[in-house]
Amino acid sequence: MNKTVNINLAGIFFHIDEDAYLKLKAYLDTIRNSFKNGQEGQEILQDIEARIAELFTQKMAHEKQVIGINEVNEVISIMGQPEDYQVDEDFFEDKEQAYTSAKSKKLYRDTLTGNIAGICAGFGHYFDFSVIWLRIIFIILAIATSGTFILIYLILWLVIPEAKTTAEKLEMTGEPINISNIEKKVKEGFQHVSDRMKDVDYEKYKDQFTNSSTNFFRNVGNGLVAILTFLGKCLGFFLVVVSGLTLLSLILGFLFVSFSGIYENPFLFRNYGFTEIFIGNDTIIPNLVTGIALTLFMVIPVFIIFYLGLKLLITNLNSIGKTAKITLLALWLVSLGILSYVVMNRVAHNAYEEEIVSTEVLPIMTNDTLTIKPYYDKSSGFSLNESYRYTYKKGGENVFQKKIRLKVLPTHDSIGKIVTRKKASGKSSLKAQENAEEIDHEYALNGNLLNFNGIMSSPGKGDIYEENLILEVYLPINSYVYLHEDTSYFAYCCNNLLSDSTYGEVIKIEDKAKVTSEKNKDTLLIEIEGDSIL
Amino acid sequence: MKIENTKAQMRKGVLEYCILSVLRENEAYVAEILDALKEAKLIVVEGTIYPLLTRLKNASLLSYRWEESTSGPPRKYYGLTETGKQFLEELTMTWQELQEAVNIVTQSKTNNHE
Repeated sequence: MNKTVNINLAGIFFHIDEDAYLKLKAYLDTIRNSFKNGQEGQEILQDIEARIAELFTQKMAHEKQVIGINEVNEVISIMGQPEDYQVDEDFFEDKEQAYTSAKSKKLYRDTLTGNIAGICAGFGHYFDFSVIWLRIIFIILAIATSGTFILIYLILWLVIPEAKTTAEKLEMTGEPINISNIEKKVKEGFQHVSDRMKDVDYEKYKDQFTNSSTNFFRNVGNGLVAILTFLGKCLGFFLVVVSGLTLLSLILGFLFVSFSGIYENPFLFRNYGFTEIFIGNDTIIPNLVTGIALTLFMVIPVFIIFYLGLKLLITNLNSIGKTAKITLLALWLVSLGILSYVVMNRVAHNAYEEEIVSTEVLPIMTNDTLTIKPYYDKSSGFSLNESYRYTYKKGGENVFQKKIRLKVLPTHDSIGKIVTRKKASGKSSLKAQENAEEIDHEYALNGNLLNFNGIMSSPGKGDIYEENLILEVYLPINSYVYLHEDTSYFAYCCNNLLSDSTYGEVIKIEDKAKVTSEKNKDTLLIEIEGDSIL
Repeated sequence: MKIENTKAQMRKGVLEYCILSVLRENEAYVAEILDALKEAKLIVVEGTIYPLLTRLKNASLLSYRWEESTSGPPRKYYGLTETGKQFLEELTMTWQELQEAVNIVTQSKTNNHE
């Protein structure tokens, strides 16, 4: 069974099979195209159409017969290939030209497979590049240039001609223009066109046979479908924009991180959370690989969202292909594996915690006054407002510096003492102990003056081992202490005498337990006596 | 250079002369001209003739009139104009000269070979 089309050829009416019609049309289009001279070409074409009409008339045994593809083929074999119509003097040059132009492609807009203006599709043909990737590139460019590229797209739309005729379509894909290719092309387009025709006819018949009420519901249905489609497109657009921006920033971020030298020295951006993963990495996986894995781990899901958004936005979007899908999944799983391994390794660094305690006698007795004053190496750039700092030396030793914590506590002993607690974690108890021992800190005791370094330092990996130093100063009851103002920077919470009002003045150490039982808990436990002794 | 091209070029060169010759005695429409040319195996496909006819007409060597047809669309009956007739005369002379010239050259060549 074949659908027929009615045509008017040189004023004569013909029934012609649909496929035959498409072939004949392609043939005439190609011939029309081969005549560059408009006026003359028009006339020649009229003659040709008249002759074809005549040939058809001769072939028709009786009125009701329909022209099929065989009749069209016969007529074409009688009339000749498009190149047979070339009779110019510069015949050879023409041939040469036809040959080269068939070989070289021309840039057209492919409106048949394209979505908007067929520009991406056209470029795809021109560069032999998958359309889907070009579309993604175009959209990323459009977002990256904050819309400027859309203007370029519009200009391209104006500048690049549309591939209308079969010959132009062949030129677009770079196939030589001859009848066999035209036929192939027509057959390709046939499905497309006939589908559309079917739809049209279907609608038409439906219109004829449905009454007005069902028509109404159909219209409502159509309206709903249209609204849903529109909402879908909006959602698609939103997804594409959001995920596109995310993709862009992820990729830029990755590039930035990669070129920043962070892999060689993770301390460079120690204050940013994401670099945590690169620090203390003693696995076989290089930091660059971890960085790529981290990026892919985030990029792939975002890309999928981006793709789904595109799919919502563009109905006949080409698939990215099975291979691409499987590759993406595999890459993501590998990234996940790498990240898990690195992160688990990283977490293991804190599995054990050790503390090294050293105690020194502080020759302060009852009624003596101890002055506590911090110092620190200002040349290191450390400011007391920060709690830690990484000094990163390319090719050299990295230094991690951190403010120590100071506690001032009362003791019932007759003489004071200084307790240094170095804390660190590690993969094993032994490692943790080693890490704690690496903490460097000093203080100096000159008679009644305690000068302590406010900053501890530790080499190597920084605080992934959770290094801490607590300096505990125990003073006998009824002794006095003068805390320099800067001491406030090192105050450490709980169970000690340090509070806001205790700095820059001499205070008396009293038994805490006794005081708390007599006074309100919040009341200051320290009695202030006399003026500064310094 | 392809042999097909040369052959086609030769054929197309004399085609105009032949079309005019067909129309020397009486008017004819395309199918009749085609029949004559096909009979002489001067053309294989019909397509070639249409651009030629249009060009000859545009050069005022041919004119045509419409005539209704009982089987098919109206036909264009082509005939020679006065210029066409003169043109044909000149071409006939040139052709005869050419024929002789070609004969002499080709025969002398074959003689040389022998």
